Amino acid sequence: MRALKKVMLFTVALLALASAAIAGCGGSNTTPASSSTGGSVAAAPKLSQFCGTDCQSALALKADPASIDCTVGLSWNSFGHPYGAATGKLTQAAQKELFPNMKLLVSDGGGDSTVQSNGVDDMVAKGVKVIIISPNDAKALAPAVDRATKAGVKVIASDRSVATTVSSYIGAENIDTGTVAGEYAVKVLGGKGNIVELQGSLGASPTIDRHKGFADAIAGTPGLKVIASPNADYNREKGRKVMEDMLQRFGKGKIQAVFTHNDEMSLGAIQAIKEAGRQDEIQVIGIDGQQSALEAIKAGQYSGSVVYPIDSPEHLVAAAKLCAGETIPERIKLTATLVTKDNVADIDGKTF
Amino acid sequence: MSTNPLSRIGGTVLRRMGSYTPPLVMLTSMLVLTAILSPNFFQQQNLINVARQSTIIGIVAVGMTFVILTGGIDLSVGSTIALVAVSSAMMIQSGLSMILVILLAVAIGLVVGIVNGVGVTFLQIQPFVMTLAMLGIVRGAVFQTSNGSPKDFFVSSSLLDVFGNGKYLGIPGPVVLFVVVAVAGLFVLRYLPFGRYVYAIGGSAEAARLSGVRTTRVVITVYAISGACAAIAGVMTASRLSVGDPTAGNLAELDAIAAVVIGGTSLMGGVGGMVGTIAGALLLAMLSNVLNLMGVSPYYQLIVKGAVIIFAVVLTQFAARASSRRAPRLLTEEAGTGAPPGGATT
Repeated sequence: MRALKKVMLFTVALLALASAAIAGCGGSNTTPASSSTGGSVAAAPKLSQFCGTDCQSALALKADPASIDCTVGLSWNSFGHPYGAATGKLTQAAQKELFPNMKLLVSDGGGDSTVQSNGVDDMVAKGVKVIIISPNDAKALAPAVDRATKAGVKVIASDRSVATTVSSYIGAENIDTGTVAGEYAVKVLGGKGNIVELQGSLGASPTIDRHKGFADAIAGTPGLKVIASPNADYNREKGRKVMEDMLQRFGKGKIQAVFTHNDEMSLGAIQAIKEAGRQDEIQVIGIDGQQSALEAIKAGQYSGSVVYPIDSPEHLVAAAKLCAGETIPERIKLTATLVTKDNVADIDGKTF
Repeated sequence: MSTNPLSRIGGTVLRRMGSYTPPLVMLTSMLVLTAILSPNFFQQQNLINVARQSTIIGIVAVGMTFVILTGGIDLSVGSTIALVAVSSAMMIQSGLSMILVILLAVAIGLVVGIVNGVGVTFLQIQPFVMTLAMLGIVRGAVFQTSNGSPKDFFVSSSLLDVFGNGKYLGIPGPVVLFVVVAVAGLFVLRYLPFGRYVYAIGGSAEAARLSGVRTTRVVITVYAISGACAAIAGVMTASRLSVGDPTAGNLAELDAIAAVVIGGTSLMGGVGGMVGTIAGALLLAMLSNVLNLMGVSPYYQLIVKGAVIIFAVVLTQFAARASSRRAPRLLTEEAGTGAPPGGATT
């Protein structure tokens, strides 16, 4: 009897805890980020420098930004990585600044297609007019997107495409980041030298695209040779480890440049190169243009990084155009932009 | 147990060496093979690199050895590394004194470990399930505190150098730290009653309890040790790179388990020890270093690493079977299952 009572007490306590936790989480899971009525608003929403001429004209908003009062959903594959986290932050800030009367619902897929799919359904139920989605998986999220479309919601794919019909797909191309990095390598090495490529996670699509873009860009320059392409999983610690091994394998004067698939690996490689005392003979070129990389570029340790731009405020402006009944093209491309010491000041604060 | 202590220690060392033969043989043959395949390997700088590259997984594996010897497992160590890396990076950047940061970091590891231990003992959750749950919970906490982005810090201190980029007589700080942790682990496991209890619980938890071992307390302690070791590895990761990376330590639990298993410790508990784990950690670090030096494609590297784990375990089992056929009593002594009543009654 006593034992039973204990068990029951314990269960009640657990349930109470669990419900408290769920209530707590629910708050952050699908919350209206803001619905305040704002004061003064700029006439035309300002787009980022990653939005080229075509992108600018595609996103020119005819309506008054203050008149945009629809509900927009932002469904991201995960806010648990730097790019996702920064996108969430920038988009919420952009909504407050550009469209004070818009309501923005935010839903975190948490890296799980099922969770994200449910999140999309919830948004539809809450009456959103436009959903901006970056799918965890292009195929897995297609049915949820189709359900939303059927319910009359317009869908914009952002950063990653969805394997079904959407109003527009907005974002940069990974392959372009590799191409821009390759073109820069040709220029900075004067068309001659040995390159070590640090690849991201094996089999991941950015890895494949960044590799291909770079390889294609240097293919026309016979003096450039990629002498090794080990992988370091987009991770700084691994980047450092693998670079240490590469510096052992190829002695002084045998490596002229390191091309990495992301800044984290670059920052690790830079530390290994510095420790080996070979920073004057090796140029490091990477991709992403994250904030800590910009610091390294300013300090002259990092030759250049190609910004893989965040789609904000562009995807929000696109959503606003759909709310206002304006049309947008099926594909809006953001430009992969090289950052070096020369233009780092312009880019500072606009990446993740 | 009443022989003269000197000869007893000598005998113990010899007998213990017996169970470490497979990993040590593998390490030696790897060295020979490497000498032939990759002359670059034996350059002093490279040897220092390998030693340093083995430290993070090595220290985690020391803690993991305790857990696995009790028949448990700790899958949460990788997440703990990240939690400690991120939170110590934030504490350092906020200007907290370095000693305090390190103490708090270890405290975080201890807390995670104790939660694991309490789950395994009081709530009777299987270790695999409990620590799998904590893997997710802790990683979630990491992303929550860091908002998903790496936390850079720009503070340096001599104390931090011990964990990161410092060198003492040419030996990197992390290597010194690894040696200290490994020796401490070895000592506790081999010469303290607590070490005997760990083996005893792995042999049979019920038998250990009946012979007076406070099994609950011991089990909670081994998870706490594992958490603390992961915390040290976390501080090392952060100070080495001057960043608290929320993705740090991803899959580190599997590397640590691999090091322990290659070192001849059985996942069933009760059999194995620290020397093997250290050899296992060195072997893993050497393996990826050598494969990189030889320019083996990353796809093949994964295959080779898997094959080495299988080979090591087969070798260990083969050696154990051979020695049990020759001298069954010796094996039980090695396994330590014969020891606990002695430890408990003295």
